[in-house]
Amino acid sequence: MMMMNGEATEAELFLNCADMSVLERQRAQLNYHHLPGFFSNSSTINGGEIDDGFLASAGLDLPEIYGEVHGDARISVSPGNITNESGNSKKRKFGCVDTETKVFNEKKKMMMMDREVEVEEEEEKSKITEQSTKSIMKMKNKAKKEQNSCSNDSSKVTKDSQRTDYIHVRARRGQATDSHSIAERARREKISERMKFLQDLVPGCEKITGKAGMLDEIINYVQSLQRQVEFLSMKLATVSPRLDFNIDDIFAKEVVSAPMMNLPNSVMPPHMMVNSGYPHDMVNSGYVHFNPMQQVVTSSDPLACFNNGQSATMWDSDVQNLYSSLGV
Amino acid sequence: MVDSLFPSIETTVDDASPESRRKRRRISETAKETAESSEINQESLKRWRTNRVQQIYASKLVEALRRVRQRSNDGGKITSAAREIRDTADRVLAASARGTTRWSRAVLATRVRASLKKHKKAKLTGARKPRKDTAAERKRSKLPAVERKLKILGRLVPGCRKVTVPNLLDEATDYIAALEMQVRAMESLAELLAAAAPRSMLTRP
Repeated sequence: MMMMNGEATEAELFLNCADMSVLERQRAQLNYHHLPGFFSNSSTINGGEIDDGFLASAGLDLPEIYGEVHGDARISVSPGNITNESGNSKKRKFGCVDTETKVFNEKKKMMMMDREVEVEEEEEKSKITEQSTKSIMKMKNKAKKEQNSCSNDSSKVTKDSQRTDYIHVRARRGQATDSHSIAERARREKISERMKFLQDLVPGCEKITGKAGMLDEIINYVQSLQRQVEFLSMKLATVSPRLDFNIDDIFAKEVVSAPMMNLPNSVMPPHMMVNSGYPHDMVNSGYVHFNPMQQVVTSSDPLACFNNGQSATMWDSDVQNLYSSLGV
Repeated sequence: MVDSLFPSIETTVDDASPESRRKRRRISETAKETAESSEINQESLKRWRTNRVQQIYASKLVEALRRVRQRSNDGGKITSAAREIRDTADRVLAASARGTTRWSRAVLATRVRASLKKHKKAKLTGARKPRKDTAAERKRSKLPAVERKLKILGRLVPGCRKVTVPNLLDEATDYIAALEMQVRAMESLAELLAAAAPRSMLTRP
């Protein structure tokens, strides 16, 4: 039971590690006062106050790491003293089991392995270090499934299994505590995090939930982008014979008379593109992307005329026409 | 924040047994993996969205196109020229990625392989056997819909057919950002040239 408390609060211990974007949210909900529970099996935890006494003695760097991330989380554990942690932390734990275990899963892989190394080397054979090593080992085994890069210290593992009564993996409430399922869950977390990022990238995907639909959108978008590139390369092929002769002249001319010259041409491309039967999403997305490029010319680089106000004059009216015609 | 984290993990443990050092390195590597995922995503946006990057790409593209024009005289066919231009554009795009992503490396590598394959084309014609699309096969392959789509996505992103799912999504993220930039740059370039060129050039057969 003590260890359960400790296990659960390990979640906080590993807050510093990777997957910040996912876990930062969760971390916001976590209370650092959970932290003391980690070594609770043989330690005293002062109310919410923690100092790095234990950690310093155990050679662990957690305070330092926490210092980098949060700056206020520390653990104080005095070895050799098994006292029950204040019941409040336990209650709190049950309150946020979900978040804890999420964080816990991610973090433990990182930190546990790290700490295991450090703890191994520690000469003190305090109960805490032993048990923490065990817990580290046990959790490391779970994480290993996913990462396949940790060293497999079999001797430690066997020592672990003998004293499994101390080690509980804090899984989410109502979910399997299997090592497989925890690894699986971590893997799913990774994938969903990246899918979320892709959702931000691909326009028009906010409402779509589910991997299959998202993947469909992503595939369509990539295909449409590639088609756009093809179309544009064809367009460039029609004008590129002139590339050799007077490209510099063109740019020089453009810089001077950019606003004037482009207006007559600006009407053509949208209609041309729409009439040629290209899907609307392609035309749309092409112009959508052009919009952000409205900045003041900062250099005299001839190509800087890409970004000057000409785009504003050129595309704005076109985009508005286009949007109204497409009903966007 | 995360970047400052890892040095601390590595440097604070001073005990010098080689085994532990190996473990430490492996551990920090795996820790970095998960950090990299979020970093890659944010970094790809920063990398491909700035205007400066677009300018650089456009100028490089112009240079490359000019060199291509010089090397192969325009035969008059637009489609072959278009393909050439597209390949050039993709190569320049991949070159701007500086080899950090898998798709960019694959794009740059296919150029070498393509030039080699030209000589070996005869060998490859009979090698592949087309799969008959039976109903049973269709039914079987329909079950993991998500996996099917992931495979399709893997085919779309160059060089990512046999890549793990999280890596594939990372590559796709960077690829999409790069493609967007490419489209923007080529559009503006085409616009520029179309505006500058006399109308007679555009209506030329």
